[in-house]
Parts: sequence; structure tokens; C-alpha cells
Amino acid sequence: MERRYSDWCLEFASTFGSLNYEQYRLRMRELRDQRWRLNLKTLRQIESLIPDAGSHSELQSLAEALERAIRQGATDRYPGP
Amino acid sequence: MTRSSVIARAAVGILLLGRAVFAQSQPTVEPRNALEPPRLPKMALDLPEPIKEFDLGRVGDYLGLAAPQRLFLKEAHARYLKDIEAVRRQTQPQLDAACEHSLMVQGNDRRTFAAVASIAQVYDVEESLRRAIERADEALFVELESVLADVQKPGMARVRDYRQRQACVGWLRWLVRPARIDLSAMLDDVSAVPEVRAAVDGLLADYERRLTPTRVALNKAMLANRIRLLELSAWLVRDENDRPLDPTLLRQRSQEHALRVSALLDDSVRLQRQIADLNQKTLGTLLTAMPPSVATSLRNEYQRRAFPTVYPDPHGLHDVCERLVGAAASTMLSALRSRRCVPRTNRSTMASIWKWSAATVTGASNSPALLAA
Repeated sequence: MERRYSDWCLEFASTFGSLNYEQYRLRMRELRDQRWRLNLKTLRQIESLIPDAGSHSELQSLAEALERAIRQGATDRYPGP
Repeated sequence: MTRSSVIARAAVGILLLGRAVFAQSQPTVEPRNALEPPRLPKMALDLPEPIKEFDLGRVGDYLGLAAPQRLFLKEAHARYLKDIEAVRRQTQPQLDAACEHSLMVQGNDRRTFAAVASIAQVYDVEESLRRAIERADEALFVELESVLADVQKPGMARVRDYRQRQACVGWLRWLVRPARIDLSAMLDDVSAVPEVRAAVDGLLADYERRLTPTRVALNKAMLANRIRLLELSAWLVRDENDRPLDPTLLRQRSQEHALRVSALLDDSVRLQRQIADLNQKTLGTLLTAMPPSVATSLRNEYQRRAFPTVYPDPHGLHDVCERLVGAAASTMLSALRSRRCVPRTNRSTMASIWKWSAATVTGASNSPALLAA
């Protein structure tokens, strides 16, 4: 994501135009979604490793927040103008 | 109604209509109340702020000033601010008039040659103000130099570099983010502890020596490009008599316009890359040379400024993983210290967490493959 963002910024700085903005936008959204899904998967693995995971409200609320973010992220304006 | 009165009424009507149309074409600025002068619409200017009182501390540290020298600098700085204020007061009417004229010429479209010429006039006044600020800066430094001991004088180069970088504000918002960062100034924002700065001062001095000429060159390039870019925008849509261009010509010019803009920006992009690379390289060295807590803050701040669409990640797992592994480690340590066995139920969990943490805490939870994709 860092590299894609940097490439886009440099492209903009070289042209002062946003010709390929749509490609950049779609790729960044895709990467963010992948990143959140990987985080959620990792979180589930952590939960399965901890015997009393049920008492870890922090893990649960993190997982819920991630699920919510993935749902809401499908229609938000990221990465913005 | 006689014929002459009809003609007279028609003439008055045309005159009134003409005035109404003229009035509509003028940009009107409503005063806030009868006592206040009308507010002038603002134009974006690229003027550096005067040296601030906060900067005096940095100057004092660079030079290792003694208490009486710091007091002298404070008094000289007060005179400096008065001088700047006098220059501003003197130049402001000229600047306001140029801005007002330019906004009137621009109307709703700054892509005309007349509009560009009027903006160039504003930039001329701005340039004279910038030079006046530079002269005042230099006068302050000369005054300061007069009270320095010989051993302190070499430090003035670093002070001048510091001020030069600070005064680089030309089209800052158009630069790529990592090229806007000055790590030396950023460290001030992250940590005010003198020992932290002292630990990395040698590194920073070297970094500043390399950063300053590139940053100044970039600033000059950006300031020089402002009018040229506006001229190119006007050239794209206007003919040589400043009339709207024929649509067929417009299409032809569009491609050439893009090429000309790219050629114009070439230099500035090269300089921005240089600064971004220098920042990235220096950051790695800095982080290893400072206490871990400050290093974490500095790294987070750098990431936030350099890649605002990526950091901070509100759903990152790095912190929670660190806490979990920390908790597991402290349980294990306390068990070992008290020579008790680690409970069987926790043994496998901890072993799993340790194994998993080797990959996770070092960054997998932040998905480096994705972050760097």
C-alpha cells in the first residue's frame, strides 16, 4: 500500500493530473480489504490458541470492529480525493 | 407621450440596464458591518513565517549559547519582529491592491493570459516581501554572530540551514508527502527530551547538511513553476489573443500540454524523490540510535505523515499482539523466577504464541506484504 500510494503521488507530482486515479483507487481499496481480512484471520487464529479466549473481550471487540470495517469499507470513499 | 420623451426613457432604461449588468460582473465583497473595512478575498500566497520564539531555543542549542547570549538573542529577535511587522505594514496595501485587481481580472476563470499576468503581479509583490524577510533573517544572524565566541561560530551554518529549510513553503501542498518531511523538525514534535536529541545529534547534523540544498532547490523550482504552469493552463484553452480556443485545436493541444507540464515538473519530481529517499534512509539509522519508546513514536509519526492513506490503521493488530506476547512472557518469567512449573494448560498456548509471535509481532499482523505491495 505504501508503494502504491507513493507511486500515485509521484505520478501526480509529475503531471499535476489524475489520469490513472481510478486504477489507483481500486487497487488501494483491494489492498486494504485484503489487509483487513488477513488481520481478521490472524485474530481468529489467536483466539483459537488461547484457551479462555471467551474472556478476552478485547479480542472479541477487535474482531467485531474488523468485520464491521470490512462491511462498511465496501461502500466508503477510501482513499479519498 | 412625445417622441423625444420615449427616446429619453429608452436611453435611461438602457443606461440602468447597463449599470446593472456591470454591477453583476464586479466581484462584490460585503462588509461585515458598517464600521469595518470590506474583507478582501484571500489569494493563496507562499510566504514563510518570521522566525518564532520557539526557534530561538533550537538556535541556542545548535550554538551552545550561554544565558547572556540567549538574552541578547531574545532582544534582537524582538527588534527583528518589529522590523518584519514594519515591512509587512508597508507592503500590505500594495499586496492587497494586487490581489484585489487579480481577483477581479480572474472572475470565474484564471485560465486566461490576462488573469495569469495579474497573478504574476501578485507574486512579484510576494517576492519582494519574501526578500525583505530574508534580509531581516540575515540581519538577525549577523547581529547574533557578533556576540559568538570563535568556537561557536561554525554552528551558524547549521542555524542558517535550519532557517532556510523552514522558509521553504513554495507550493508545499503539491509535494509528495515524504518529501515534505524534515526529520530534524519532526523529532522536535515527537520528543522534547534534550538527551534524545543529543544521542542522535551527529546523525541529524549530517542529514541536515544533505537535506538543505535539495530542499532549497526544490522550493526554488516550485516557486518558478507557479507562473509557468498557469501560463500553460491558459495556453491550453486560449488563443494568442486570449480568446477561447477552437475545440478542434483544444484536442490537439491537450496532449502537448501534458508533455510540457511533465517536462516542467521533471526537476521538482527528481528533487522530491531525492528527499524522500534521504528521509527513508536516515529514518532507519535514527530509529536504531534512539530509545525504543521514542523510536516507536518517531516511526509512527513518520508513517502517518508520509503515507496518510495507509497509517494509522485503526484495525491493526500490532499492539494487541505485543500485549499478548508480553503477557505470556511475563507469566513465563514469573513462573521461572518462582521456580514453579508453567501450568500444563498454558504451556502449549505459550509455545504456540511464542512460535507465532516470531512472525506476527515482527510485522505480519500489519501485513507487510500488503503494506509494501
